[in-house]
Amino acid sequence: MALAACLSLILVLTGCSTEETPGANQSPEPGTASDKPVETDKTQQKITLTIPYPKPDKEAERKAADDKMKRFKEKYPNVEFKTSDWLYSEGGAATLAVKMAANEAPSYYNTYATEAKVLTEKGYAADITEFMNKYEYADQFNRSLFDIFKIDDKVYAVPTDGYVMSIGVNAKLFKEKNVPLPPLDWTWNELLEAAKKVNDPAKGIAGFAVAAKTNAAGWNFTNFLYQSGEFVEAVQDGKATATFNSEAAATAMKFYRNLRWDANVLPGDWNLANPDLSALYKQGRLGIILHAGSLNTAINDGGMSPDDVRIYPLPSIEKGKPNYAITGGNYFVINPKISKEEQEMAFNYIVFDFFQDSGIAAEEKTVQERQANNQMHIPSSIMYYEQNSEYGQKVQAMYDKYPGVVYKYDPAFLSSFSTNAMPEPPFYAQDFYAEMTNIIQEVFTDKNADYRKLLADAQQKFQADFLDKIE
Amino acid sequence: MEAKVKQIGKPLTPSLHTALRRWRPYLWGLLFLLPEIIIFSVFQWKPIVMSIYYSMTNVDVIHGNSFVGFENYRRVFEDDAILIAVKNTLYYVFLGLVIGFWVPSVAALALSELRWFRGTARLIVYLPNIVPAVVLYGMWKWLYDPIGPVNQFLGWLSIEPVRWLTDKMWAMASIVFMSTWQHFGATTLIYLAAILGVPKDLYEAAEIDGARVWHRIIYITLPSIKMIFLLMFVMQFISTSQSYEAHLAMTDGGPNNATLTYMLHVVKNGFYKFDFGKASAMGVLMFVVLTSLSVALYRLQRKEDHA
Repeated sequence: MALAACLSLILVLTGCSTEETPGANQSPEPGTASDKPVETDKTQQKITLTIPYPKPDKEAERKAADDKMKRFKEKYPNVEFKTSDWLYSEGGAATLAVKMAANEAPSYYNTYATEAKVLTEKGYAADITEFMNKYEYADQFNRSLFDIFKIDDKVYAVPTDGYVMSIGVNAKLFKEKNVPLPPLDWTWNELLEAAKKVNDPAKGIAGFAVAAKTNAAGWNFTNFLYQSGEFVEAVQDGKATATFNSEAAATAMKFYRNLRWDANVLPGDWNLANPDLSALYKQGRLGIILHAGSLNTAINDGGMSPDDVRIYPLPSIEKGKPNYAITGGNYFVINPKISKEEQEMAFNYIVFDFFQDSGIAAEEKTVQERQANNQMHIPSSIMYYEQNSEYGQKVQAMYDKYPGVVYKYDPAFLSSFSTNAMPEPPFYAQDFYAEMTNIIQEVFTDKNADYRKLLADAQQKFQADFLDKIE
Repeated sequence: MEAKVKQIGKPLTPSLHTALRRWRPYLWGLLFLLPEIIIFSVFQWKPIVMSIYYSMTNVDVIHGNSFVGFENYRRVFEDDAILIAVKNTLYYVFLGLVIGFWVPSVAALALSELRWFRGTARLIVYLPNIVPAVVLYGMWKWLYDPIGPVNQFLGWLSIEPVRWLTDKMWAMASIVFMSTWQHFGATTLIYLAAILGVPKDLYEAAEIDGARVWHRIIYITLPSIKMIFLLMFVMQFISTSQSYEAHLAMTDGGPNNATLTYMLHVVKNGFYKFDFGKASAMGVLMFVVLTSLSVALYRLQRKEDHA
């Protein structure tokens, strides 16, 4: 009860109410003077924006934020800034509802593609279609990122960058063990064989690791499910049906079983989430890691040389088959509880540097900060703009001025990694991941786990609990 | 108006005067209690009442709450994971009692029998209690690492390494070992205070009669502190049944829900799925169970006092 009371306490103290924030979504009374369209100079509006501000240890990012606020104020002199150290990405997700209830959430916040469904369903993301329609560069966004937060033709977020799931390979470990690096167009078997060769449990070195804890486990597994030929859900005659109780899913689950029991290449303490995997990887205790952020983890966090780590596309089940990989990204979402004017100003602030030379200058400053701190700048493999657009080329030209500071992706990797990018399951992805996580943990715990039965039960439950309730 | 002024200006009636005089001795006491009453009302009692309200509500911080009756309770009882969570919680409570309950009492008995370094020993026993939780979980993850110190020690004894946190058989016990180490110091001090409160002349008389250490413990100490045992038993039952932090940090309820406790399930529903209504309903159900236990304890204690 203490916890329930605590939960209520939070809701009570934060004033969980339906009261509108002053100014929020207000429409003028008919017949009043304000129902006539009045052209106001938006640059002169008096508005206070609360922006998420990087933590003190992120010096470069703080400087970039300070600089952006300063430049924004030159154009919008009456905008005042408050900073918030609440960050969705750094443990803030669990308190989002509380922040919203207390009207303490910042004017906008960062989030991920995986959250699109839950945030829009719960109403934690403002509908920004109106602002986006007015935005002159709206049609220049990278569509694969942009469309993830577009639901029922409404836009709920501004994309910043993205990724396609990839694999990190500790090349140093391979070299130490005289194991040749596998080819980029590798298969499940080649991955397994490579993992076996660098696997050294006695020294605490695992050949390969996937997330097996939290919903990340199901999320990782879905990549293999896709490669195996199944897409979780199908829609026919307007009805969504779960399709993961299939031969393809059983094959993927069998591969997971092999990783744990036959090849025994997983870490001994396999119940790990992505941050745990990153920690092992940068400590040199992992040969191969399924992690989209493996480069930053190894180079900037782990101090490894860029030559000692490689990035690989996901493998395919057999040579020539598609190596499907889930794509995702980072987004900015606007607080639905602030007024329309504030929402619009927050939108203006988010896109202030987008597609602009000022954006390239800001990015260059970040690169220089990295250089000063003896770190590498690792650009995201997918940006909000199309890489081959004019703007993309200009950004690349700036990057080219900093050889050895800006990470240069292997062209062979770039040409192969995104060919088979796939979105997440469209309905109740997180609940599907949760179901898969339980099965994966059972398979990793019990050598004789009947994964076919587990898949059948999970599908039945998922269909009844979630998909059948879609109206 | 004039009549009103007259009324206000009237001297206090004898009965009111008497009442005030009767309450005067308690006035300061009540004033001192006032901050606690306010704090408890705002931070404890009101949230409890609001939990009951939220348990019958679809909590929606954006569009507004709506009353749903017992719908949240129906969803709780339809949740497959509830039964698992209840079983796990009872298992955790049971292991806590089997593995952890006797540790502080034994430590307190040992400390009470020490002739030297009692203060230092008390400090050492209490130290784990002040280790920050983040450090504690990091340290125990390292201890439980497949190539960590515990498994290395087992290796020296030619025992196969144990997958402490990923083996369903060991995962819950591993958390109990850790929690016992973390909390036994504080409980030890409570037992020690009770033991030191036993009249010294009983021990002196026993020593004169030739009683040895074991006799003193069995015939004097243990019977004298049996109510503390009962109290600690119930307190441990209540606290372990509400435990979730260690399970969240060490295993996130895994492997395959083997360490999913009831409270962890509440947390996941409330803060991961933002389903505050269902989480509140689960909390209220827990409240009913624990309140019943507390009432049972109170009655037991009263019976004991009258005996």
